Amino acid sequence: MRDETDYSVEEQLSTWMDEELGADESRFLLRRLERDSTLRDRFERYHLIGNAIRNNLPPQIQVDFSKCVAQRLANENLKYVTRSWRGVGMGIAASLAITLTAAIILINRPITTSPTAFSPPPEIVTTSTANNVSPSLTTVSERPRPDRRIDRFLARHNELLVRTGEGGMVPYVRVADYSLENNTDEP
Amino acid sequence: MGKQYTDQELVERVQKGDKAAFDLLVRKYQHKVIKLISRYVRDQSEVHDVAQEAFIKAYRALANFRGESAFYTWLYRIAINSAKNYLLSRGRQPVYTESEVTYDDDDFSPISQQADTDTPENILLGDEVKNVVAQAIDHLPEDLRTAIILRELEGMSYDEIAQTMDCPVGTVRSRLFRAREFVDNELEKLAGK
Repeated sequence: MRDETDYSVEEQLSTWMDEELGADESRFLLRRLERDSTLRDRFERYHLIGNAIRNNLPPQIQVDFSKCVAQRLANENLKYVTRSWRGVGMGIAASLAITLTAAIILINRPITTSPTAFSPPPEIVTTSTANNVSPSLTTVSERPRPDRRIDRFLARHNELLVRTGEGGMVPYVRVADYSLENNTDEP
Repeated sequence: MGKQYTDQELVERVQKGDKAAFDLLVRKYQHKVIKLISRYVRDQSEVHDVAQEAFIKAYRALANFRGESAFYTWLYRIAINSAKNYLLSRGRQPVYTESEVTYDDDDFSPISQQADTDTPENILLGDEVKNVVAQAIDHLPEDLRTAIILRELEGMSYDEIAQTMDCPVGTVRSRLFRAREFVDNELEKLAGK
């Protein structure tokens, strides 16, 4: 049985085009293709042959089309900025951790009864007695007063992430610093 | 290993900054993209410019390509939009609506197919190439011709071709390579004219 090394690189190219070349050989061939323009020209002609057989050719074929595209890319000096996925991942993970922490703190805060500017409108609550159900109009709860310390922490964290280029909070989260009339929560 | 595997591999390399990988994608899909655009843009002298623009846009947008669709489908979308934008910029309406354009419409006859004998040196006529390839295929030995027809027209895998032709997969691989080499030699004669 022939080893892959026994096949010419041109034959490997033909096989790779048909998606029939092994993974290791494909990687080797790709590295070769990237530095061998003659081999890339052959790759292009093989595809031309296939398209011709399938009657899938344009009216005119520009033989140096790919070179023109490459030249335009070079002229525009387009540099592919790859995201630092590690940085983005860390930023997202940190943002989620902060958000979760803030949510836990807010949930565990005692519910206050004093109305604030952010109170939801009164809701109709259905209460049941032993024999019947009668609706009653009750203010269920008011939104807990925002914790100013959390707000400042979130704002500083978001600012730090933006400065380090790792991205701030997820776009739809707005970090607002509430101005409260009563500053009794100051640390 | 499906068709998308190679494309996916190349796309990932491009996303890591490998321009040579993008060059391979251009070489692979240029004919299909140009043919698609030529269904919108009648002026053949403009078709290649619009197609180049489509590939440039694809390169810029590839960072956001997440593989939810096939690369080929995604590229086609960009090509169609490029053609439409070109027509709008010229104050023209697209000749065909998108639903009228199919990807493999073999019956389509381009309105402005030029049979100009004074074509520039870097231009080959599609019909001329097709004829050369067809004649070369006709001159192939039967086993090579059968193999390349089954592969290119029927889209069979090597295993399927091997079963059909009752030969080992390695023989299929060799036959396809030799068939392509033979046709390629004929094409080089055409390009050298």
